Amino acid sequence: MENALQDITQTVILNAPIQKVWDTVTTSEGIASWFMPNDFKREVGHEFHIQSPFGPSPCKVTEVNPPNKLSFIWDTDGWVVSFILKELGDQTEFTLIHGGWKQPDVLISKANQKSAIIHETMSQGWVGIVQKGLRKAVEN
Amino acid sequence: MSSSAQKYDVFQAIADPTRREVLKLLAHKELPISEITSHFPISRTAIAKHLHILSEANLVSGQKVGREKRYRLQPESFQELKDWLSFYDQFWNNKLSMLKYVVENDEEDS
Repeated sequence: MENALQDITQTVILNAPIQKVWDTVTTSEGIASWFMPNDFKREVGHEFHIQSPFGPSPCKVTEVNPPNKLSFIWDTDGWVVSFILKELGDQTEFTLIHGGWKQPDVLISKANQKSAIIHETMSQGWVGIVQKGLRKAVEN
Repeated sequence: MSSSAQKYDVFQAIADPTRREVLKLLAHKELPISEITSHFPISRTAIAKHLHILSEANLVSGQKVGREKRYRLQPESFQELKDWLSFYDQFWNNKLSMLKYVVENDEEDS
């Protein structure tokens, strides 16, 4: 119970040049194409909202280091999301870090507030978004 | 949830600050109710109710040792929390697949 939870970290190799990936992950339109609708701006201190299935989540840009790193605060419970880009020739290594998970007991209280919605949304919400988004991308 | 008769789930059980404190106490060692009660400004009856809820969520279990009942943490139940985290893991996995698709497939826009 004592330890804060580990960050979620995921890395993917993208067959696209770093500048293209950077534009896709740090523009409002780009972010909407793979993540969620938003009014993001690539400026440190910019406050914006991501339209998640739980409603709008307040966010704030905390770091912009083109074309290698973007960080923003996500929601009101201390989450920090970072996109880290590394050039690998014509490819780009993209790493996502979702950190700022609090002590498990605090987390549980957050989960309690949202668990009902999450349980409901899990079966349809995210899956729906991914499928819808994917279909859109495939059909375009 | 391991039983359909269960009235409280993990999230409800831990929503209460007193119950979170009880769990912290039990994280160190198993304790009888009298000792748990001594850490709180509330009655033994109130603590017993909290322990009941924690038991229903399978977060703690009570075992009779001699004349007293000792309570201990059931770490297995924290699996549900891990499931919650793995939900986000899966979420990002989906999103990154989408990102990969987007940056690798819109040749005309690049």
